[in-house]
Amino acid sequence: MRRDIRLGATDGWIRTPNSKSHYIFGFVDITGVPENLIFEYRGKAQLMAPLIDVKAGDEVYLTLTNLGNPQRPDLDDPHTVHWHGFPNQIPLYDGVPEASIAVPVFRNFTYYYKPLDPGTYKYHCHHEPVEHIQMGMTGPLIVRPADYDPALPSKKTAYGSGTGTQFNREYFVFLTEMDARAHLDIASVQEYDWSEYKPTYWLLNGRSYPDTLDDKNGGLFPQQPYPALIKANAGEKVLLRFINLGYQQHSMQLLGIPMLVVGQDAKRPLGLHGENLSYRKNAIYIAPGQTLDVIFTARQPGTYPFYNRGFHKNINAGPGPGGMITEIQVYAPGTLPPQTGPNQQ
Amino acid sequence: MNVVKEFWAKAGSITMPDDVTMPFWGFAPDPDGAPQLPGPTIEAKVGDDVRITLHNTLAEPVSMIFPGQDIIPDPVKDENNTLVSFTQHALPDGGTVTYSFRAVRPGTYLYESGSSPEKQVQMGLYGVLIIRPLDYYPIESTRTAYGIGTGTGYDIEKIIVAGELDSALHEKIAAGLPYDMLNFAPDYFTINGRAYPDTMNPDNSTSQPYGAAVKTESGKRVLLRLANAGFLTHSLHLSGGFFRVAAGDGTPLRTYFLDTTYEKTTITIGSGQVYDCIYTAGMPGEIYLYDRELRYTVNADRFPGGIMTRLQIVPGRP
Amino acid sequence: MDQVTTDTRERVINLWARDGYISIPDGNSIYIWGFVDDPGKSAQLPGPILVLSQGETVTVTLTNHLSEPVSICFPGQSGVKAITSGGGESPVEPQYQDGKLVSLTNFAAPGQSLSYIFVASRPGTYLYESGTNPHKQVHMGLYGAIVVRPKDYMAHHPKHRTAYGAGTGTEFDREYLLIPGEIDPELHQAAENGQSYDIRSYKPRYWTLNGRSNPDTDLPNFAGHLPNQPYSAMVMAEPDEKVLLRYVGAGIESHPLHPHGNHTRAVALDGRLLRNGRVDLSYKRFTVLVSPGQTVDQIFQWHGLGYTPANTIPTLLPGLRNLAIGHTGMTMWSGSPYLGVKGDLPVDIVSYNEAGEYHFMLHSHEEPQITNWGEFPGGMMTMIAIYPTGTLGQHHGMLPITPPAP
Repeated sequence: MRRDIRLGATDGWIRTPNSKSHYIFGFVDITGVPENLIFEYRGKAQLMAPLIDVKAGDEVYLTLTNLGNPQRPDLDDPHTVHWHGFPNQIPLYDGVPEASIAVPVFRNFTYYYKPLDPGTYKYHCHHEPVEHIQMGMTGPLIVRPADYDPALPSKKTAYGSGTGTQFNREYFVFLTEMDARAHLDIASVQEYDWSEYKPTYWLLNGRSYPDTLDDKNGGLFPQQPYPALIKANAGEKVLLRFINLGYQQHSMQLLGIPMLVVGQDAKRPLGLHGENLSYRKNAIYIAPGQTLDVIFTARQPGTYPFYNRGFHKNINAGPGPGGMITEIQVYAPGTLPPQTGPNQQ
Repeated sequence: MNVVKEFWAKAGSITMPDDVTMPFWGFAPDPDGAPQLPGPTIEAKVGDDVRITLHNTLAEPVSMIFPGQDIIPDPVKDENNTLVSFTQHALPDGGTVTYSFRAVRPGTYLYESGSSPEKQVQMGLYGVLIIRPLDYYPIESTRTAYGIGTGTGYDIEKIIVAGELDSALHEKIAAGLPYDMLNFAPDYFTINGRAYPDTMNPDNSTSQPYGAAVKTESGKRVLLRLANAGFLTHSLHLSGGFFRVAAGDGTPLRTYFLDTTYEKTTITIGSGQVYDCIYTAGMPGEIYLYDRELRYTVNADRFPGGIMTRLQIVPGRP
Repeated sequence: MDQVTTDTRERVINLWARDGYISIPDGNSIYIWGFVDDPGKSAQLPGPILVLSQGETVTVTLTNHLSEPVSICFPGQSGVKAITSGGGESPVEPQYQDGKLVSLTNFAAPGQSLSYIFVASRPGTYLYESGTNPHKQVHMGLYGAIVVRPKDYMAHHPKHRTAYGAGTGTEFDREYLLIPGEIDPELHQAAENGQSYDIRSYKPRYWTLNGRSNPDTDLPNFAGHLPNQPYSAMVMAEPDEKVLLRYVGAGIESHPLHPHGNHTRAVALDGRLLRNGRVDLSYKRFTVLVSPGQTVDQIFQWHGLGYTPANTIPTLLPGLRNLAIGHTGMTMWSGSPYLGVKGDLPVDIVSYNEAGEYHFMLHSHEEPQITNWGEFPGGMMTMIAIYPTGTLGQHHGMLPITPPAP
C-alpha cells in the first residue's frame, strides 16, 4: 500500500513538571495540510516526533519540509530524516548529510522506503546529530508484519502470526535525557560545548514524572503528546517497544511483572538456524541507538512501578521523585476498552 | 517451609581501606546489632513461603522491594498523589511492615529499599536474596543454582554485589542536609560493601561482614553470583580466562531443549541486573576479578582499590 | 579442545613501551603512552596489531622505556607464562610489594625487559593491555589488538578464510578491526608533566577509533601526517561481500557503535564463537554496545535495493539549488543516487567520492562522542564505503596491515 507522510522540521517548547519550559527542535505532522497552511506549524515541534506506523510491504513516501525556526530565524540549519536500522539502505534515502544531501530551510525532499522487516525502529535528524538529536528531532517508527490485522488476536503481533509476539495493547517507551543548559544556550544564540553534556532531566516519551502518569492522550501536553502511562486489563498481553535515543545507557526495571524480550534492534532473537533465544529480564539494559521489544502478561490488578534503576536519574533537576518513573496500571478484566493506537490510554 | 526474618533499618558507619569513614543506612538482622552493608543475605528454597518484617528506626519511611519475585508492589502515594514508596512501607521511628511471597524461581536476586531509592539505596539499604532450586542439596551432584540439568552445578559459590559510594552525599543525607542528586559523584566503589583490598578479607562481624575473596582448587567450579546494586554500569573482568554465563536476572540460559549459555572474559552488568556465571578454576595461582571500567578500581584516586577481588587457586587433590 | 601438542611453530614479537604524541583534527596534540614494535619509533596508538596463528607458541618481549613499571595482560589467553630472572618459565601472577598489589601481572621495571610466553590456542579477536596502574596506563594508550587465525585458515580459499574455522559460519571477504578509545586531555597532560593523575576528574574530550578521531578515521593506513596513528578505521567493501568487523573494547567506557546501511550479525564475543555444539547463538543488531575489555566479531553485508539508472529511484531528486550539500565545505557524496555513477555537485564543494561508491556512516550513538571537544563532526565516527563490484582492490580489508612498499 502506498503511504504518503509529510513531516515539518521546526522548533518549539516543552514543559517539565517544575514549571520550566525548554526550547526544542523537532518534527510535526503536516500530512495532507494544504500548502498555504503549512507555515502555521512553524514553532509547533513535538517531542517525541510523530509516530511513523507502517506495514511491511508498504511503499512509504516521506516528504520532509524544513519550516525554519521562528525562535532562531538566524539558524538556517538544514535537516534530514534518518531511518535508524533500515536494511540495505542507499545513501540518498539514509539522511546522512556528509554522505548525501540535506534539506535547506523552506525546501522539501521526499524519502522513499519499502520496509520488509517488521519491528521497532526510530527516526531522527542526522544533520549535526549531536545537537539535533538532543534538541529533540527524534521519533518512534513501527513496521507491522505483513499479516498484521488488529481485529484478529492471532494476527495482532509484533513479528507475524506464529512468532509468539501477540499482544493486546502496545506502548512505545522512548528514553531520552535533556541537558537543560544546552537547550537554554541554543535558544539564546550561545555556543554549547557538547563534551560538557550532563543531563539534568530524564524523559519517557518526552515527559518526566509525574507528567508520565498523565492519561489524557496528549491533551494537557500538546507539544509532548505521547502518554508514558501503561494500562492493561488483567490477562492481557502488553507489548513494550523500548527505544533509546538518549546519550546514556539506561536500565529500566518493572517491579512485580517479568518481562520477556522478544525482539532486539527489530530482529527476533533467533540463532542462525531459527533457535528461539527469547529471554526473561527484571531490568532491561539498553544503549543509545538500540531498540528492544518486551511482552509481559498482566496477571493481577494493581499498580506496578516502572522506573530507571539508575536511581540518580529519577529526578527533575532537583529532588526526586521525577525523571524516568511511570507505572503499569492493571485493571480487572474487561475494564478498559480496546486500545485505538499505540500508547493510547 | 517458611523462611521468616526480621530486619531493622538503621543508621551506622562504614570504613574504607584508606581509613575514610562515612555514615550509611543498612539492614540489621537484630534489634540491637549494627546495620550491615550489604544487608543480610536471605536464603530460601523454591516452594518456601518467605516472610520479612521490616522495623524502621530511621526518620523517614523505609520499604523493601524484591525485583523478580511474585509480589504485587502496591505503591504508596501522598495526599498530592506523589510517589512516596514503590511498595508498602514502614513508617518512620518505629514503624513496621511485613512482606510475604512464595519463592517460585531459583536464582540470585537483589532486595532493596523502594522508598526514595536514589537516597536510600545509595545509603546502603540493599542486599541479596538467593533462592535454591527444589532439588538442591549441598552435596556434589545436587548442588546447583537452577536445578539438575541446567548446567549450573558448582563446588563453591560467591556473592559479588557491586556498588558505589558518594561519601559527600552520605554525610549530607545522614545529617539531614539538602543534597542534589545532580551532583552524584561516587568516590568509592565496592564489592559486598567493601573496597579493595578489604574485599580480600574473610567474612567477619564488622559493618561490612561479607568478604569477596575466593579460594578453591584447580578444576573446581566456582559459581559467581554477580549483582549490580549500584546506579552505574560495571564490567566485571576475570583475569584468568573465561567463565560461562549460566543465567541472567534469575533465568537459566540452559533448558532441556536449548543451551544458550556462552563464555565471556568480561561481563557488563547494568544497574539492577544480575548474572550467574560459572568459572572452572584453571591452573594453580592467583587471578583477579575486577571492574574493567577502570575508573572504579581506585580508592579516591589511588590504584589498586574499588571493585577488585582475588581468587586463589591451589592444586587439586589427585 | 584443540590439540596443539604437536605444533612446534614459534613466533617472537618485540614490543617497546614508550611515550609519544598523537594528533587530533582540531589541531591538538596529545601526549600518550603506547606500544610500538620498532625501538626507533615513538609510541603508536593503538599498539601494533598482532596477527597470530592458532597453535603457535608466542613469545612477546616487552622493553620498558617509560618511567614507571609496565606489563602486558593477555585477556582470553590461557597459560601465559613469564620468563623469570633465572631464565625459567613460570605462570604470570599478580605482583605485590610489602603485601600491597602493584601490578595485575608480571611487570618490567623502567629500562628492563620481560618476556611473556603463551600458546595462541584458540582463534578469535582479543585485546592486549597493560596490567600495571591500568586505570592510568590503559587510558594513556597502552593497548592493542590480537587476532588469532584458526588452524585451517587460508587467506585465498573462500571456505577457509574464516574467523573461527571452516564450517563455523564465519567466512569473510574482508575484515576490519575497530578499536574505540577515549582521551581526557587533562589527564594525559598530567602524565606528561609528571603530575598526579586523579581519575576522579575523568572527563574525555576526544574519542577515537583505531587511535584516530574523525575525519582522520577516514584516511588511509599510514597516512603521512599521522605517523603515530597508523591504522585507518574506514571500512571498504563491495556489495554482497561478507565483511568481518572486529570490535575491540580498549577504552574504559562503553560505546554503542551503529553502522548505517544494515544490521550486523554478531558471531563471537570475547574470542568465543556463539555456538553450543550445533546450536547457533549468533544474533543481529543495528547497534552493538562495545564495552570495556570485550570484543565482538560481526559479519556485515550490504546487498542494496537494486536501483540503477535503468531501474530508477521512485522519487524526484530536486535540483542542486534546492538541496543542502557539503555543509562543512566537503562531501563524500557522488552527486548521483546510483552506485558507481557520479553526478552534479555544487562547484564550491569538494567531493572525496572516488568511484561513485556509497558511504554509510559507522559511529558511536552516544553523540557527544562524535565530536572533537564538543565540535561536530569528529570523534568516534567513520564510513563504510561500498564500492561498485570489481573496483575495490583486494588489499583493502586484509590483516595484518602492512606499510606500503617504498
